[in-house]
Amino acid sequence: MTGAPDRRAGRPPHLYVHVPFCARKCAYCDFVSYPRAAAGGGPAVRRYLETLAREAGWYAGRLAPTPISTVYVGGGTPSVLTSSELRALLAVLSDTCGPWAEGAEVTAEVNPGTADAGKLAVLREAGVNRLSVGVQSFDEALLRRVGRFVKPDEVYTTVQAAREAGFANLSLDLIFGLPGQTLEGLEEDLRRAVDLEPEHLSVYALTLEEGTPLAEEVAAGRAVLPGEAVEAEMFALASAVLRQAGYRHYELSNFAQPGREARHNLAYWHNEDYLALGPAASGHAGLLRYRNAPGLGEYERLLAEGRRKPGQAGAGGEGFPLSPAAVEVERLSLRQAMGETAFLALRLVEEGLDREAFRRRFGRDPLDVWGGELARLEREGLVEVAPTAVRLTAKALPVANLVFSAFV
Amino acid sequence: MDATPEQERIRNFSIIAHIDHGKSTLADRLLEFTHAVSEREMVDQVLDQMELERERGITIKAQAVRLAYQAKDGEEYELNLIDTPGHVDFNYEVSRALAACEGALLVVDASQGVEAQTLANLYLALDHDLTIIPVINKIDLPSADPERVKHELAEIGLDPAEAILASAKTGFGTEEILEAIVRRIPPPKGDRQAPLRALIFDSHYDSYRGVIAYVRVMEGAIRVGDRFRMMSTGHDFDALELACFRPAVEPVEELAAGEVGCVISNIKEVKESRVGDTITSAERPAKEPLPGFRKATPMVFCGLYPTDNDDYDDLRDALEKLQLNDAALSYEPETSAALGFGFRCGFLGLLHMEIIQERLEREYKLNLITTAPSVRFKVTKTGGTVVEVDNPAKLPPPTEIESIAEPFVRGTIIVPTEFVGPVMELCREKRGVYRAMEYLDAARVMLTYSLPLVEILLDFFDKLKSRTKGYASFDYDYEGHVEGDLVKLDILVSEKPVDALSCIVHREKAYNRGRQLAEKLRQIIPRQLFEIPIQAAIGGRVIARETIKAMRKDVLAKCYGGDVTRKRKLLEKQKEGKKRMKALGNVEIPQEAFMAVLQVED
Repeated sequence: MTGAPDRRAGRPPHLYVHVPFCARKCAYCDFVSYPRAAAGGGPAVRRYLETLAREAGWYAGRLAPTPISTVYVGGGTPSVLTSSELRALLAVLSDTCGPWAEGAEVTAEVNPGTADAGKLAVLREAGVNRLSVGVQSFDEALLRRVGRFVKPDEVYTTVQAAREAGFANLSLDLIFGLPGQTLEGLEEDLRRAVDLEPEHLSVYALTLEEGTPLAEEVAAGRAVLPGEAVEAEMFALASAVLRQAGYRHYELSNFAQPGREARHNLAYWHNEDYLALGPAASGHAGLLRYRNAPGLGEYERLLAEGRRKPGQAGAGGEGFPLSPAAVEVERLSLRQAMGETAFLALRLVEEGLDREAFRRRFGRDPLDVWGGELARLEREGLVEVAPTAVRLTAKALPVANLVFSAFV
Repeated sequence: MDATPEQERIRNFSIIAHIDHGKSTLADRLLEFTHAVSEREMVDQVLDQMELERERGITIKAQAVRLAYQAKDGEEYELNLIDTPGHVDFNYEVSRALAACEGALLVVDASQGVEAQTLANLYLALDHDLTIIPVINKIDLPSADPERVKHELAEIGLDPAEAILASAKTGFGTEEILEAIVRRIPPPKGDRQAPLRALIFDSHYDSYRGVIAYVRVMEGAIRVGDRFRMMSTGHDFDALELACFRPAVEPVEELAAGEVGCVISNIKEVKESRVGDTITSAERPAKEPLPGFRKATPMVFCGLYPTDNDDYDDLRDALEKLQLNDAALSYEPETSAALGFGFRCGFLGLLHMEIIQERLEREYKLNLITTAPSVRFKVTKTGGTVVEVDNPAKLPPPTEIESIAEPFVRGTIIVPTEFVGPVMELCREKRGVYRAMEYLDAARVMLTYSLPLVEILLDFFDKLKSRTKGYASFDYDYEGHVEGDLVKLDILVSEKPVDALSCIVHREKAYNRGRQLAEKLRQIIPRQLFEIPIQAAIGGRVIARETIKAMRKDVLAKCYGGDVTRKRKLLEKQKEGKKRMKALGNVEIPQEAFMAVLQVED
């Protein structure tokens, strides 16, 4: 190669793409997602794909083309797109951001009942090599209670179809703490999930998000959650059952067969840089965090205008060519960046906050930055400070916020 | 001795009023009319200096403005408007400001009529033999009823014929008021050749200029460069600068008997320039100070503790600075087993206390834990000795106590007749003793009660307002200490007594208060990883128990790329909440807990 060195900012090594469509909203969901039919069906998806191409193109011209090693297509439910729409989506991504790095992890989220063999084949062909399946529970009545209409049979069909399509890396999502859910019910869910032999499992505590229908129902007393004590037990139960089944509890809510940890998500917990595409998608570049306009309409309008206005937040000067869709821009202080790095890493239960990596990145040891807090937390039995890393203790897992808040 | 020709053209006056009756707006109109400020400068009410004052709509510090007024008699007069605080807590400061005047405008809202503070201020003014000019303000309002107000003025001993109708909002009546000031208020007297005696009616600490003393020269004169003496301490200083306010600072060479201005000196020590003190000449000192100086008596006490023990020195420095502007603020070091090192501070009243707390936090950026306000009890011990106790934790053990007396105040409540029942009911609940009831007119009465001050600290004002739909006005003055059946209520957290949560209550109310306090604390104290028992006890006997359940789960389930900022903010909030907490052993107690005692119902 000859000529002047490329002065453009390096492309973050990870890519998140938000697909803001789903079949219908679940009562607990506060993600930006539009039921496909209500949003306008095919034409709406087409407009979205055109805009996505515009946004991806914006970055393609402005970032040095270093290869991307993980891609995550999330939502929403990407699998509500038709086969041809999915093909178009993935073509946009590989045309603008590809080719992916050797051995890249490319994940797509799918929901049971929306991903048939045809769609799965399209995904596979387009280079997707990992699927995250939103199971949540095998208890149909429980799911129906929160507005989620998935039958257990559909889970089996989807998993089987995925295997047949050649997906060797599957992750299943489960949820606990649903109204009416019992410990026995969760154990059954865990057992049935394990029986499907997924390489990876995410087990999330239900989080009541303000403004969701479920939060309102709970506030009004129409829905009753299992309660904190039971939820704490559920958390412990999930960890025990899945470890027993040979999974590593490698992150607070995530379990994997050895070597099958979600590499894209590890990038978040290692606080690495990632590029964001799509409405409401969030990106991270150095000390910059940004979020795209959440509304599909606004996202489309901003990219149709095609330039950042001088008054717009973060209009230049960050050393990173934010797209016109990035409406929330935050420049972190070094202290904030250190805090984020710490509490994200502590989520990695076994690995913890790697002191050497932290020193390389910030020039200081975590003990120099938070000596007093760490001493207190150690005294309270909530962290373990080892020569190489700081980790949560078993006691701290269910109350990890008490530890995290010390670092912000 | 008659006024000199110079003094003939000086008038010193104040404006007194109930809160919100339009004092500040009227002051603005007077300034505007005499061109002391242009309309454009009149953006805000210029006399109310501090941000905090503006927010609360009250004036805390007195200040003086010199106005040049061309009267209809053809002469130009120098009118010194001395501003006064408008709240019951600041009676002493008001009295010093009034002592610097010969007359006062008594502003009464044309719709609201005479209120409790109107009366309190009027009596203060009459104590100083001031000429009173009644001003019926806000006559432009549709609800204005000047005839009724005139009738009320007659009831309180003023001549309704002398009342001036005005609207400070529109400017109506402003000139008539200025003329009345010139014609009715006598000029100041005082021998300009006599030894200097100047009354300090306000005092400010300015970080650039040092101490600024606002004075009214009663006799003699002070010149730039003079060496002067504070009569209460005998300490001498140099008058580096003299100035008056128009309202911008204007340096002057001399302030002579009858004049009002300020003295900027080399005073560094903040306690050296107390409101009410007399300045005299160091070379030719006066024999006697001006009457009326007293160290203001604090009535309400609380402990102030830095949440971070390292801030102790900063807190002391801040209190010292605040004390300059505020001779009424007292503080002394105190140690609490629960809270560590702090100060027991004395205030004139609740509002005064709140203002000081807010200033410490806002201007001095201190994070404080404040204990619930209390009063100063007089405890007679079995041996016959009397000790004063302003911190409930310091009450001697019951076996050593012969009797306890608590401060009572004489409370004046002015209220529409329809609310007499509810007000009497409230006063009874608060252990009040009925003294008198007088009709101000057909629709309003003035009730007088003797009330235990400690009950007023609880939630008397709020209850009074809510039970009278906001129509009642209230004022009080210390009456004396009265013996009562009082006991100490202790609170134990995790089996350990927390001294800062103790309070002294009437025996009849102790059981109920204890139960409610324990219940409140259960709600306020955040959960920990273990159970926390909360107990209320009297003399070692537990009367109530509550348990704070252990925290079992507090973890963010998901944290991916899009969540980081939001989660960080959540964690920051969680951490911020902790800053306002004090760790007692392994339990963290938030500031609110120390105030819980104020929220219990009877």
